[in-house]
Amino acid sequence: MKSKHLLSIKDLSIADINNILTKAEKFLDKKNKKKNSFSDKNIINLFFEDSTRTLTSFELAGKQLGASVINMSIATSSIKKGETLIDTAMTLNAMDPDILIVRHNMSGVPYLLSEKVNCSVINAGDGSNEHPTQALLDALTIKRHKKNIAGLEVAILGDVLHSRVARSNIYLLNKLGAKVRIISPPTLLPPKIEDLGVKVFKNLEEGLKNVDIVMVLRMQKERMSGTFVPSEKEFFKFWGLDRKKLNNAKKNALVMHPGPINRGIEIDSDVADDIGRSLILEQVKLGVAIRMALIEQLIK
Amino acid sequence: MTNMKNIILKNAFIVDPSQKINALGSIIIKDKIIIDLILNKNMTFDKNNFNVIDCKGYLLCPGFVDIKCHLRVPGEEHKENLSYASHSAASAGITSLVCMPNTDPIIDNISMVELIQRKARKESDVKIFSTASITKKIQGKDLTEFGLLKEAGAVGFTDAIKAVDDATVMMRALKYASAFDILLLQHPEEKSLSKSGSMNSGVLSTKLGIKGIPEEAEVLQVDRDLRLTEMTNGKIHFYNITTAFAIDSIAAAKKKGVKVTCSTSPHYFTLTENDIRKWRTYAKVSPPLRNKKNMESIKKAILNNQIDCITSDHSPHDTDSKRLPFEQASPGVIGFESLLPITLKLINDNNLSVERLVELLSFNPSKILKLKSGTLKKRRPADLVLVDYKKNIKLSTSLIKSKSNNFPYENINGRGKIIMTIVDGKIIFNDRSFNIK
Repeated sequence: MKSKHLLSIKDLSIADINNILTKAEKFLDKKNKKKNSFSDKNIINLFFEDSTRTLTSFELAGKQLGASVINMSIATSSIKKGETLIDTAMTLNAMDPDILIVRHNMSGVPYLLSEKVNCSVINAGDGSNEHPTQALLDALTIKRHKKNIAGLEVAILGDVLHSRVARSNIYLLNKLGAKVRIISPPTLLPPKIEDLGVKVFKNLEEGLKNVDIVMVLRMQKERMSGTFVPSEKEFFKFWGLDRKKLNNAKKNALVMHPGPINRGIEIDSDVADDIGRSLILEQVKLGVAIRMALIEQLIK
Repeated sequence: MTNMKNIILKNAFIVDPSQKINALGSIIIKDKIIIDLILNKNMTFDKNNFNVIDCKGYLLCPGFVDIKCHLRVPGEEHKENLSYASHSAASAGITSLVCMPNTDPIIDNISMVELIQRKARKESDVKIFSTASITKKIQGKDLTEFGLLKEAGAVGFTDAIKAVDDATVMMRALKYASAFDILLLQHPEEKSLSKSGSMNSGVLSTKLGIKGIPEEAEVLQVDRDLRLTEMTNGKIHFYNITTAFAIDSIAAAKKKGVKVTCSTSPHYFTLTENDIRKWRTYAKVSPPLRNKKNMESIKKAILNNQIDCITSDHSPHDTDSKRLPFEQASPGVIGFESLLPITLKLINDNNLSVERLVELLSFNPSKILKLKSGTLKKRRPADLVLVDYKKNIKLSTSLIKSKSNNFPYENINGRGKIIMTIVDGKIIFNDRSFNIK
């Protein structure tokens, strides 16, 4: 990797990505797990936004590598905490950590902090910008089931407008040669999203045709101001993924979701819980391995 | 610098659109006033009674009139104050400033207008004129006392960086203003489309994960207000025009005879949304920087007279207001020092005459707000500026004399250097080319 930070998928080369995926697979093997080689390293999880899986996943990853991990959750729902943001980062920086893992509800914050601190910064999700480790773990999940990512038809379904997961996945899947399409109500499509190299569908059935992977996204109500979709009921009827609609995709199409799931809104339980089709829990599991690989890479 | 003697500026290249003058000549200043303008004659002057300044090779024109700037007084003196603003403006050839009312408290009553005037007399060498808000507390509801405020000295009415969004309120404001021949100056952004965004809407806002403001937000506001202006037979000025859509609408309305003028600011024809790069808050302005196509349209509109004047939109901010996540950062850039170099470069690059420059920066803005300056006519205040108009310069933060330094033009090329600035016959800036006794 060229940079000492991981802020965006855009900064990674194909070789970087493959390298991380390969390393992560190595960590899946139980006997490679407990390594104390990083016992002198300190990792700080600086989370300005609520998180369960990402925070836990990073914490576990750090601990399994033997590093000391400190979690700091700072609620910033009260706005204008800007000064505290830089000040907090500078304070932590003075304690000389090796990695700062940052999540924030504003786009660009990990980048801003990376310019102020000496250690490596990992973006654990910033506003509607990116969530690079999610995209990496998604790629690993796909790779383990479909072998080759190049040439796959991947549909990203739901609230793309507010989704950082969608953006990171679009960049990464395009880099690895997959064909990405977006299926979304027109009000939840970001402006000019086609320019990122995706096909856009407003109709779910049409959009699912010939698809290998469906990535379902949650409606991010916390980032919405006003009504984007009249009701959850209507959203589910037209854009929620159920068995019948999934039948429009390829027969062996697989379903993914970055979580948390809202059953009956963007996905039907019948599909979400189908171990033959749903990779949702496997995504969580592979997340730890990806983050271990990344931490190891950046600390070295 | 004091001036014991009266001043003669001789051998200057004099440009004054108000008298259609574009010739070599001399100007005589006595007791704050231009007492004579002599063209095409090589004269000798009595050096004992006059400070004679040889202006050979320099442009001499009416001082620049900036009808949109934020001086942050009162309430945000940590960002700017009148003394800093005055130094900065004087060094930029600006002799009259028109400040915005979105201060703390808001300039919406007589005592606030008087406060600005009183402080300006004490702290500023350049002339400072105050606007007042259209609505009380800039809440978009109740009109301020237009008549009394005008009597107190308010030169125009505006809700600064907020448009009056209620159509009935705006209609009444336009109607009522006509009783006092008052000009309303409107920020061109439809609120409901623009309120949650902080940069231009497009592929870049998608890539940066920032909520966008569509170009249409501008023309929606402009179109509504043009209708209301026509309906009420009122008059209106639009600040900070950034889109081709709005230019077209305003041009069409002018053709119909609607009393409308408009302005833009250097950043809208120098920078684009791409200058935001990675959430660079120094490129966050309101309305937002647009794409290249719109930037080119604004340039064209300046060159073909569709835009009447250029304002600095000087918006000083301290570091703490800018060193924030993009969406939380305050919008605005420092504007005095770059006003001339960027505008003159545009004029030069497109082979237009210096007369157009003086129209854009002095004559037209002065006319729009009916100020006494912007001209070199006899018996008018001696507000003028001497410019080395052939000099290429590189813009940089080191030129900044403002209290803040949110300056987006590092290493951008400009044209023109201010040699001397005179307000009411007093030399308030001299770049040391001249040794004045």
